[in-house]
Amino acid sequence: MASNFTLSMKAVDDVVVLVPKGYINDLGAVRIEQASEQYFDKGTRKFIINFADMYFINSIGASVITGIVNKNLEREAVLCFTNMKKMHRDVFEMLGITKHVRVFREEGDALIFLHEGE
Amino acid sequence: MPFRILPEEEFIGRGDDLLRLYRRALTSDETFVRSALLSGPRGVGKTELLKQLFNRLFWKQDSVAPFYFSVNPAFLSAADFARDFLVQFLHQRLAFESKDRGLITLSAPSLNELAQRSEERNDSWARETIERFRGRSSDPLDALCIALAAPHHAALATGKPAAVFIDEFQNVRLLHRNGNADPSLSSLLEPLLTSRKTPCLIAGHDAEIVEIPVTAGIARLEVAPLSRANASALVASLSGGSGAGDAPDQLHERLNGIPLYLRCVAAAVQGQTGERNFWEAYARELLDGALSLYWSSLFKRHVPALNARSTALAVAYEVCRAGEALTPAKIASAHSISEEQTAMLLQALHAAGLVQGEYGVYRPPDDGVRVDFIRALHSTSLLGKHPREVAADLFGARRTAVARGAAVELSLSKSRDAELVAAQCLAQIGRNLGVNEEIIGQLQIALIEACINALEHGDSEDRQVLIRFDHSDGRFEIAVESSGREFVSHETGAPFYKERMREDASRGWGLKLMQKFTDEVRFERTPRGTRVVLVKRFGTAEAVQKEGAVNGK
Repeated sequence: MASNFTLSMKAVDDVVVLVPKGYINDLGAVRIEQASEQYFDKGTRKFIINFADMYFINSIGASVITGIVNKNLEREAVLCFTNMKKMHRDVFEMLGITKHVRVFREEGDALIFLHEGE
Repeated sequence: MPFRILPEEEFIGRGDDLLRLYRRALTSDETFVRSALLSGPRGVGKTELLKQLFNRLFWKQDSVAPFYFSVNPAFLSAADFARDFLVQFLHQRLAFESKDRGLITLSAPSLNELAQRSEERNDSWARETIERFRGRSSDPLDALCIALAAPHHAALATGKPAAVFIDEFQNVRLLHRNGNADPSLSSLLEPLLTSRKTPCLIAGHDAEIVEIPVTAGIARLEVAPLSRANASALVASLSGGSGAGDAPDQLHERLNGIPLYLRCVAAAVQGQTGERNFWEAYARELLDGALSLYWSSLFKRHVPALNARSTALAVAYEVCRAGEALTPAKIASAHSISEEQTAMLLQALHAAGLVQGEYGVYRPPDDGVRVDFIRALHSTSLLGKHPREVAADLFGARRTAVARGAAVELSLSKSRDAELVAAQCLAQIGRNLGVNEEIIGQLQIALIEACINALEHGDSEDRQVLIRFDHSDGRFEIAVESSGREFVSHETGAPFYKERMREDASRGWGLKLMQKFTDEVRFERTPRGTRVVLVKRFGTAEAVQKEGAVNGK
């Protein structure tokens, strides 16, 4: 069965950009979590999740994302959310996630912020 | 003996159900078959299915002994019930074992006659049961226990399990001693329902049956209304080739594949042709036909006090007219009666099947025929309208119904990401209506959450989730129904979670998401399980206002 979720990643200097595509349920969110863990173990401290290609997220997936945000806070890593549709932003706001991440309209804006932060 | 069954040409569309139940009953000879509730709306044909099953088991095999018992509301004292149950069981069991025509055709035998027959046949288990029953008959509770244990003892003695069918099971709630109903008496049926030797199929009014504690956790076997093709075939069969043709589509939609209704209308049309004649036959049935008699008798049985019937009818009409869930308090204020009296009337109407009720709110029945019956009865009895005028009103209502948005129904099985199928279906319906993409997206998120809950908590054997999309007057209504029951609090209607899930904090967010992205979320108990209804207005000022508020955040 074809998956309704894919995750692509790219490194831009010291920033890792995660681009989930499709439906983020528990399994999809765990894949995002595992990917960010791997990069963190390799020393990455700046992350962007670009939600441009996310169609849906369910409550379980959103909850796993909350865990990712909390881990990044504890480890003093910087996490940015970009390209969110309004309804997805509403979901994250309801969960209280957006208070703890940097939210940008575009991925480029987040990259500028993270690079300027250096 | 329950040998009066419909001829094969009128028992349409039930072959698969009958075969499934027949095979299920036969496996009880070798494996443990759990007792089950034969579930479905009134008039769908559960009683007929049980009787057909009894007949097939009685005549076509001899490894499982069938026993059909319909709980007679006239025999609800513990003593009467016990005697009725035991006599019918012994009669059917002895007849099954002997296939003795004299015994089979014996009408209403006495315990003495049955004792004599068991002597002649040297059925020691039957003699012992009768002796024990007679010895303890002065104590109704003992007598009841002995009677209810008879199928189990017979199975142990003969090595043949009993397939027990109990119809009108909801009446066991009214079992009594000394004239005072004692709901705890129904718990005495537990050994019968849980014995490996006596798997039971119970049937009756689902909404009342599920309230009986002894049925908690019982499996459900759904009896669905007839498909459109089978409904048409039934109408054609009942018309007897008189050339009446088929009923019009909108009437079929109204009758919803319920054999009881189809039979009533087919009989009333009396071989006449044409759409108008079918509608007039339907109107006659509602006003003064067998269909009216059926619902009137239920109404009268559950609202026995003559002086309460007018108020009860007004209350039922109010619930149907409102088209939304009403609390007893709201209805009471509209009718200047006490909230307590209103609640009692609503409970009686609920038991009669004329309103639906759960979590302290009441709604019109799902079934359009019942709504039409209430309207017709209200118009004739309380408003004094002439039947011709009422029929004209019904046709007006039909035109309104036709003008409403067509419903789309979807059935989901539990599979990975099945909820996305529902979400995509919703998107297409929304686009066809020109609904704003933002609103579609919000509803999709709410629908995904409702589907996840339903798929996760469904507990019937088929594990299907049924989704119905309705739209009219700038309003979407999506009903997600599953067989699950345990995830909704009876007091508040809010979902709660099993311990395993409670540990996972995310599981509370589903309801919040549903509430955030819709205008209304309500939980309804259905005969099948639980239904979550999501309501979202679109294209109205209110929707735009709410949309603006969400955007503002």
